[in-house]
Amino acid sequence: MTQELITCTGLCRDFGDVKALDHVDLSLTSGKIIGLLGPNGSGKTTLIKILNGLLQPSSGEVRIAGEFPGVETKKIVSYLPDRPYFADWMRVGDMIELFADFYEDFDLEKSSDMCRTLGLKPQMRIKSLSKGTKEKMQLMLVMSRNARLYLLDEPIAGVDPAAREFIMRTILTNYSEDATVLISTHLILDIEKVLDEAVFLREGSVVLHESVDSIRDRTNGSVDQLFREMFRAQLWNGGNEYAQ
Amino acid sequence: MLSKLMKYDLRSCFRRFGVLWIATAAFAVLTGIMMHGVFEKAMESGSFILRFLTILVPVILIGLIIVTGVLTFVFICERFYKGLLGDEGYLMFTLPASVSEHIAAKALSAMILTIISSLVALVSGLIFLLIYQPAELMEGLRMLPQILKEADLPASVPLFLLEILVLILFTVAKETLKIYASIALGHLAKKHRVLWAILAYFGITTLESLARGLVISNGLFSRLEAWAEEADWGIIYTNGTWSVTGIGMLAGIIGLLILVYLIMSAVYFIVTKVILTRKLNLE
Repeated sequence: MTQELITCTGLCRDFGDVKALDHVDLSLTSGKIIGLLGPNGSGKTTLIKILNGLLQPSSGEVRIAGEFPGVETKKIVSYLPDRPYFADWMRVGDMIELFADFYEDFDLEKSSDMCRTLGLKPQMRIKSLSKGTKEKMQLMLVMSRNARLYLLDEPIAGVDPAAREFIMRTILTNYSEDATVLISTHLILDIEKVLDEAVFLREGSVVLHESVDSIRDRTNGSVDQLFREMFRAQLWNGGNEYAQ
Repeated sequence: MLSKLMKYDLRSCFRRFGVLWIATAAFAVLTGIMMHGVFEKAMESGSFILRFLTILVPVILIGLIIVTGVLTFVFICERFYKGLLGDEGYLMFTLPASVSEHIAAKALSAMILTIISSLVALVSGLIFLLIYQPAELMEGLRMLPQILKEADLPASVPLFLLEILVLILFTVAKETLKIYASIALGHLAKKHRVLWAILAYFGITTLESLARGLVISNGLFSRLEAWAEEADWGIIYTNGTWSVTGIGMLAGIIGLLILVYLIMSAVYFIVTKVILTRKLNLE
């Protein structure tokens, strides 16, 4: 399946004088794992928030499966934010029940398997879990859905290499084949081998959107190398020679 | 979706307040027992601990009722602020529910919490009386049907009481939605959002007072007062029977108040909805 799942047209988002997104035109298709790559402050989280309906664009528009972000798109989008979102009164079982209640595509069997792997029990208080376990639990909930689009914001930031491996394995073994996974990160080396496409964001603009195979053929190097060159160059001369 | 959202809101209410409600009822029982017999014995016996307890237990009961009231208010503000505009908002606003459903679920849960907390205070008072002066209370309850039967009450009295209940409900709804609108207005600020929310609350309250003043100065309120006087509302005891007068007029005035509160609730709801839909910007 290669039908368009996400389309952004002239998408802008300003925060006062700062342009977090600057005329983003982007089209992403189904059945791909896509890296949304850029340094801190390049607009990755802003774009993901807009896709989730957590922010409104200043101008331009975004559609997911043909719909503006809203109740209908939330049914098919599974979102992992860059922070824990649990209420302190909740237990593990409450969160699983909440996901099963609200999302028709939530797979209880899948979540039970992942809970066993993580050693999570329904009666455990979320407040008492370690930061790392909370992050993994959030990932477990998000990946237990059979969604059409997974939006994962910095899933491997701030965790040790072993945890990164666990997270990547969880993502790869649990997403549905015809779904699209959009992973935002600046830790490219850890995810490069699983990516089909890469989108480079710089200062709110898309400076590159290309398949990973094509990048490797064109540059005789890795996505990580290209990223380092582009954004190192940006520090010295704006990196315009790499912009496409 | 509304019922599902309310299920989790109410669950968080009950986990926080369940113990407090049970403790309040338990201390009402203890206070009743203390005041019924133990107090006199304590005074006679001269035991310091017993005398201390007979004073401490009622103080704790009053304290619990006050704490429940204060915490209810704090909880209503906190659940809206943290639940929708804090980190939990990242979960709540990505559930397939509309902004209206979120606001309605929070408001209805807050109203249920307020009603239960008020009922617990009321029932605690009754429990205390039942133990402290059971004979007097039972006598009063026994007499009530007789008094009602003898009274020449208009048929509209039950409807009137129902209207007062509706007025109480709409007052709670209006006040809850006013808190939400204030928090939403505070969310428009880039920094110090809580402070701006508090200022917005006082600002709205001042506007309400000004509007009330405007209505009074325009004579509408004085007209209402005149109606109330014309109604000559009262419960009269003549020739061995009770009667109620002017109930129709008073019901009209309360009906008008309900309508005003309904409109105000709708305005606060819409303000909150527009801000959370168009200006949502979670930290």
